[in-house]
Amino acid sequence: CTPTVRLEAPREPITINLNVKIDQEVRVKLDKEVEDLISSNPDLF
Amino acid sequence: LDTLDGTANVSTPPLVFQPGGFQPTALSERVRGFLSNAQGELSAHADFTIDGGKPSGTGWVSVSNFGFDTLRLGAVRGVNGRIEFDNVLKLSSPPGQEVRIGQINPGIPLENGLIAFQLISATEAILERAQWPFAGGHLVAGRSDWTIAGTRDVIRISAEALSLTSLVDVFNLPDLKAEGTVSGTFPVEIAGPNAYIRDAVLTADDQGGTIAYTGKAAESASKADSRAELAFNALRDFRFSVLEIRADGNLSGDMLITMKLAGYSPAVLQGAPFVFNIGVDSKLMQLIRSGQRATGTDWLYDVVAESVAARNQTTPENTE
Amino acid sequence: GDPQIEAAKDQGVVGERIDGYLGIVDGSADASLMRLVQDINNKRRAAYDKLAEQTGTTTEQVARVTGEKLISQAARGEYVMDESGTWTKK
Repeated sequence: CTPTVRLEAPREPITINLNVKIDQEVRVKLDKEVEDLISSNPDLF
Repeated sequence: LDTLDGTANVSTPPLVFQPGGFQPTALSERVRGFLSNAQGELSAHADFTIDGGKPSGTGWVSVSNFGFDTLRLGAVRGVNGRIEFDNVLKLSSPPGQEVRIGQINPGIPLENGLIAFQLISATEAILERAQWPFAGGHLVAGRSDWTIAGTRDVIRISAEALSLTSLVDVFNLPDLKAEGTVSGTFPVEIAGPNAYIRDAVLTADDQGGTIAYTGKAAESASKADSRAELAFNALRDFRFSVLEIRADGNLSGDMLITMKLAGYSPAVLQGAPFVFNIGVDSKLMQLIRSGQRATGTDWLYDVVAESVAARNQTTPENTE
Repeated sequence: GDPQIEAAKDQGVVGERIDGYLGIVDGSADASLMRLVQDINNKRRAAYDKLAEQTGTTTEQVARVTGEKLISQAARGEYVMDESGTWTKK
């Protein structure tokens, strides 16, 4: 006879792989800000 | 008059520096690049003796609410303390010098640090110990060599009993509550302007803890996989016995954080065991800063959830 | 830019790097020029940190975008350092 398997909660854990990418909703375009940074600090750039 | 023996002592009145105003370079160009954008108060004293034509000198420098900007560790503010020099010409000091650093921000804001060190020369120091209160616990840097104008140094940091509740606050992790403490030791490589965390592993202490995630990442994940939905239900009230957080990356750039979480939720499958392997790819600095910005940040969730079918796992639905 | 730095760039002793900072091209420059480069790099990092905070980005991103702009604006004949870390003459 085939053994019947009585099941309690599975001892083998349920394994979940989860990959979360947390990024800013707004991708800030830095170009303009960087140009201002360069022009307003002549002693540094 | 063959030699000019004798003694001399030199004291400065308290000097007050301001960025754009009076700077240490006004006293000597030799300090240029060492205390850039200096601010706050500094006073110094030196006792010179000339014996047989050979000059030597001891002295001290004391600073209060002193600050400056560095390429390697960013802004240093609120420095208070006094440094004794046993050789002013060599700029060396006895061991056990101590200063407090109000704020330093190599990528993560560290406040109220206590640094013990010894100056070997103008370019070398021994960091004896550095300690910051952090996230309810402490970050402690053990003994290591430090090259003052160097380009690369490695220091070992021990994170002691960091509270998960505080970590969630420091990194502004949305929709997440957590309890428990984690500890671990890891190298931090300071290379040029970057501070790299090299495969830090923080593990929960043996009491384990709880996690409650109620965010919207659950919705996008659950559509993908019914077991993922099950898992996110478990995460709403999860009791973990195993939590391992790995961090690897650039404190002021991209960081990859992976977490291994093992535990159960009383509400799901009569407390069946779950294991999560969570990978979080984020710009740590943005997370920290998001809290400080007035405008709410709508986080872009890109969640991929897939359950790993164990080889001989019988899922609750089918029984033989 | 700073006159000493501009002169050093013309002589090929100093150059702009893709990571947004000044570098000593062949590693041999007199002590006062090295101190000046260190001073400017300390101040550049402070400026990058501030702009990153204002724009919710990272210091590394701001420094990188600045490096790319400075390299594109560098005059012909100046040295620049690319991703691989090698100096090339524009």
